[in-house]
Amino acid sequence: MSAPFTRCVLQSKFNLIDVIQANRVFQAVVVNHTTRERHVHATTRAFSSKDGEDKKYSSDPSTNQESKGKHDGKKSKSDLADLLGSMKVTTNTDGTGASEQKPSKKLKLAHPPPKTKAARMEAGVFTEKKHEPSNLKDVKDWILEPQLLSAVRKVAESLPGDTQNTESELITKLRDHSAATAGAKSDVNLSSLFVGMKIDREAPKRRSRQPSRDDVTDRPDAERRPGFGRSLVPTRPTRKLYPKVEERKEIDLFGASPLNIFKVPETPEERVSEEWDIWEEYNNRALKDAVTYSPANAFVEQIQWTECGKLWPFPIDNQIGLEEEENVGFHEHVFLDHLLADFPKRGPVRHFMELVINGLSKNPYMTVAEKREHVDWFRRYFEAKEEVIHSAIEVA
Amino acid sequence: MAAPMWLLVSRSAASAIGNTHRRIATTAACCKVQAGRYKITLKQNKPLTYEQAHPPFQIGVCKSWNSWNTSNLCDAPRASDTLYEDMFIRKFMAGTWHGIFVSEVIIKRRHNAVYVSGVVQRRLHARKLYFLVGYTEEILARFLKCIVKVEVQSVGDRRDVVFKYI
Amino acid sequence: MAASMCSKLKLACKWKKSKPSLHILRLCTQHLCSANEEVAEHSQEIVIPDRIERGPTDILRALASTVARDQTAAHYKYHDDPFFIPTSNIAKRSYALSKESGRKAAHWISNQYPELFEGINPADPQIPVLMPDNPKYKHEGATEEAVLERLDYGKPLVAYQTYQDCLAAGVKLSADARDRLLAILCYYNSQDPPLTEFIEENWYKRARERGVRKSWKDQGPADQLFQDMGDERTCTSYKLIIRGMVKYYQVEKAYALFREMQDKGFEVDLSTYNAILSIANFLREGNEQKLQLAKDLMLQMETQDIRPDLTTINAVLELLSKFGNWKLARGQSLSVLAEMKRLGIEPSLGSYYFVLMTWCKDKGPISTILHDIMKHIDNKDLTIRHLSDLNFFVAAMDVCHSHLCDMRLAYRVHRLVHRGNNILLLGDSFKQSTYYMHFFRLLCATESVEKLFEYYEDLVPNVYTPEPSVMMDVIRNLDANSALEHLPRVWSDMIMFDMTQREMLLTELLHVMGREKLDDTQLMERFGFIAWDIKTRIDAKLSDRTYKSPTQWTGEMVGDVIVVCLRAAMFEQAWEMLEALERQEHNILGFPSERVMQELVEACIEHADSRRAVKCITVSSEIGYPETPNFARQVACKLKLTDSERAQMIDIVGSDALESASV
Repeated sequence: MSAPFTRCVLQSKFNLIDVIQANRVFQAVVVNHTTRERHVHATTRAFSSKDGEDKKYSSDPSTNQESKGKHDGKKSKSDLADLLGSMKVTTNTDGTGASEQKPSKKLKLAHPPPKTKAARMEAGVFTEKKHEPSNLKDVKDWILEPQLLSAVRKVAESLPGDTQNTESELITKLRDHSAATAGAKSDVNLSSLFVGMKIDREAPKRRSRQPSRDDVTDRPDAERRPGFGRSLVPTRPTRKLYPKVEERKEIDLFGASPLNIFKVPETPEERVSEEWDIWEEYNNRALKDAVTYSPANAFVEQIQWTECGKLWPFPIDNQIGLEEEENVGFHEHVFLDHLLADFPKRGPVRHFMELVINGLSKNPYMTVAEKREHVDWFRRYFEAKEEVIHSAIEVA
Repeated sequence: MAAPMWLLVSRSAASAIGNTHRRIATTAACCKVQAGRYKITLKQNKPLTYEQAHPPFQIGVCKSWNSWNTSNLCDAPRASDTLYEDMFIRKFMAGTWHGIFVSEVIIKRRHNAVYVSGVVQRRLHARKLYFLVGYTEEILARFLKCIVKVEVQSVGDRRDVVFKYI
Repeated sequence: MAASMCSKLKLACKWKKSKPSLHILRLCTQHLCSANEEVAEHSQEIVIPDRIERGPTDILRALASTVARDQTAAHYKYHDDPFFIPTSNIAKRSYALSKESGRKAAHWISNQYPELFEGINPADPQIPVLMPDNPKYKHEGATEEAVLERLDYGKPLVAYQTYQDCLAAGVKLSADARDRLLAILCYYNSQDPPLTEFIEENWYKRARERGVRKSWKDQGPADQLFQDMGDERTCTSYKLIIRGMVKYYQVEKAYALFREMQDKGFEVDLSTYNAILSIANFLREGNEQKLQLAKDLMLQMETQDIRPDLTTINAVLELLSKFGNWKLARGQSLSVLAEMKRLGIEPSLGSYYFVLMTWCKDKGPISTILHDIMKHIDNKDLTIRHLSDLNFFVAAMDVCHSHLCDMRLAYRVHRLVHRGNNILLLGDSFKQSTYYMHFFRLLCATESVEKLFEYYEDLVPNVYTPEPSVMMDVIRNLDANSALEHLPRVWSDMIMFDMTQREMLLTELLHVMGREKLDDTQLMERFGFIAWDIKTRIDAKLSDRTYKSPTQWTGEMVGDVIVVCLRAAMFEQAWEMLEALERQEHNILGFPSERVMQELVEACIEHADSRRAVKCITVSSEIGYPETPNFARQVACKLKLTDSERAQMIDIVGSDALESASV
């Protein structure tokens, strides 16, 4: 559990809420703006309600805010939480543990006013005289306050898992926290982190922004709120850490045990649809339409025109669209004498019809059926007018 | 180029009203060419575009055609139909895009498609011009039964296309 | 071999025996030829390839594949003229849709007045797309041929009308005709098929699709037809009506008919099973029951020897993706994928989309399954096989951004999208803009300014116009990377994209500009120009009564404008802002910060303008800044004050503050 926390601390300052949440130890403290010391207003986050024990540690924001002024005599465990949370963070630019605290950038976290003077003396987590944060070899030499140690032990006992492990993790964490702040790189300077956090002000401020580079400079008017889940941190609710690529577990997509409902076919034959499925046809058309967009260049436009029939397809074929005529041989167009079988063999009618047939055979614009219909019309006409023609011939 | 009738009629015929005699023209023909030429104004403020400013004999010299097709090749079909369609297109554009074109309508035929181009002025909002483009393309395609594409360029001020004032 | 023959020939010639020499000569040449052939065969086999049948569009497709996208040009549908090229999202949409509405107007005219379109150029053969929509039916009256003809012309409602005439006249239709009519009525929900030629409308419409809502027309023509069938309902008609109802989310009736079909002993086919599987989500409550139903259906399929296909698997995966119980869903989805592999079905992008949805839920733990999915589909040319394929890339980019915050994976996805024709699978305009939004937000969050602007220049504004939230991210990225020299360019883009009335953006921009004084005086001047431009625009909109909700000034914005102007040596403009602040106090929320007042005081001192300095101090004290006495002291020290001014100052800060100065 400590490893992610440590990494978080050394990571970008924007993951502060991750830091606090992952640690599961919070305290809501209140900013006192009137003094030049920066205070941190860290929001309390509720524990996941799965863990029953964690409920003990969920500090009520309202009660903690009230603790600014009064000690409400809570149980020791909430005091423990207070103690763990009340960490003093100093920026020591020279890298050594300063014996006196620099007032300008000191963070004084609010804590319940101690009952006795002795307790007041020991209220700090680390007294600066005693630790050398820059030299990590001396970590073991850091003397932790006995109250803190007992508190840590109590926490470790009440949390699930290995007590020893948890205890050591908590202690390492607290030490690392201090080590990181005291002379670590400036851009992971926890004090600047806290500087960048939300500061309560009487005047309402509407702006919520990321902590940015001007937090390093000491500007008394800098009113900044952390914009968690905003631009520089992606918009995911920051309740989880982003997984590192190197650490990810590979999932074999097709390696799980299958459902085994279906029989595997012996031969991977193609599916043959017995009936013509009109639904499939409509579906395929819908699929094709789903990827048809406005043409991206002239060639795609010409493809679309060709497919809907507007543009002549290449190679140019003059008979395109006139396919039925291909099946009709030229002899049916040209040799039409057989159509005159019903007509009289001589006479003006025959003469006339031969001329008609002659003309039709040279006509490329009519279909065969039309030509036959033409001749049929004449046949019907002459049959109707038979008497008239005969009388005319006799007269002549 | 035939001269108009009024130049051929002699003076004596003009005065005789209701005279059925026809006479041979005896005055000299004027042989004046008027095509594609604009009359000079007194105030010299009539604007002409580059194309209007050059008379037709300059086509192919410093002016080009407005209508590009292959109908005047040897044995090429549909010369008259093409001309008729071009006239139709020009009349249609003049009516639909009223006062918006500041140049002549250029018609180019390529394969199965007719490309109608020209220069428009930015009198209307681009939205409305796009509406006109879509409408023209579709309706001309339905008239002519082939693809019609409209390609326009815009100019801010119609005075930008003026070549000279006469 | 040849050599020996040749030597024999020589011998024969020597002996002058003609016949044997001829014979030998023949053999020799034959052998030589065969030897040559052998040599030729060994060295080069000529294989004539089979002819590839080319369609009419193949060459065009080959040519189209050679044309890359022009970075500097707008989309092909817009005319290549600055006036006609849209820059903001609204403009893009309105230009494209207005062109399409022109087309629709022409369609309407052509359908209303078809006689006008016949004369000028009668086409032979006719081009159906360009003909008016008044088909001349050959068959009239209440006959089956009439119904079928109208179906051929794609007019289901007219065909239904004819069918009803048939019923009234007592003409019975064959089962086949009825089924065809039912098919088209079911597929299009008793409406006319939508015209697919209006591409732009479809492009923009899909964003507003209704989603999962019942839209089946109860008692519409399809239902009526089915009921009229009565006892003559064939297997096909059951299948069609079930599929139709499922498509339009009439789930209860669909399932009831499915049971009825099974009771009657009809053979249910694959598509119907697929349809019922896809609505299994609505038929049961509770994840386990839904899964059980799906499994039961699949078992039924198995007993009837129906082989599942991609649609089946996708339906099951979709069902799993809607489960709330992510543990169950995850495990089962992997099983389903394994089953897919067993059956030899290649997963489509849609399958991977559903897997992503199952694994990368908002409320569940983070999953890195996208890496594994990418491993399978990287460097492939993808085609659409299922309608859900279109959702994959958007979901993948969303996961990269919100779920994983992983830029390298995002690049991988981006490369795949831009490979070959895969971009067709990105979807319609809404999906595209969502995809790019996630991409850009991730870029802003993780990459340097150079990289960000590399993609920015490539894609904006021709492919993608950023949303205001993305512009906000860009400004913040510039701020965090101290690359404020790009801010003027961002501002000009904001003007182009019509974002100049977004209050949050303006506030942010002013704040970033006004935070620090940089060394680059030219940049400072530009900032001043921008700030003044913002001021002009806001004031213009405020005074424009037709504008409904103009951006309101806030104290911070005013303060930032003042500070930026001061640094750009625009003292008068800064002063004008302060006066505006004073005049409009009741309209302006908040105050400029103390730092602003300080800089203003300093600027007044620089310009040796004591009246204004006193004014500053008045304003400062009205706001109630604690530094006001310091300001007063500064002014008193450095400027020569007239008596009235001095009196004013004493009124404000008290004489002791001033006295400490003079001391």
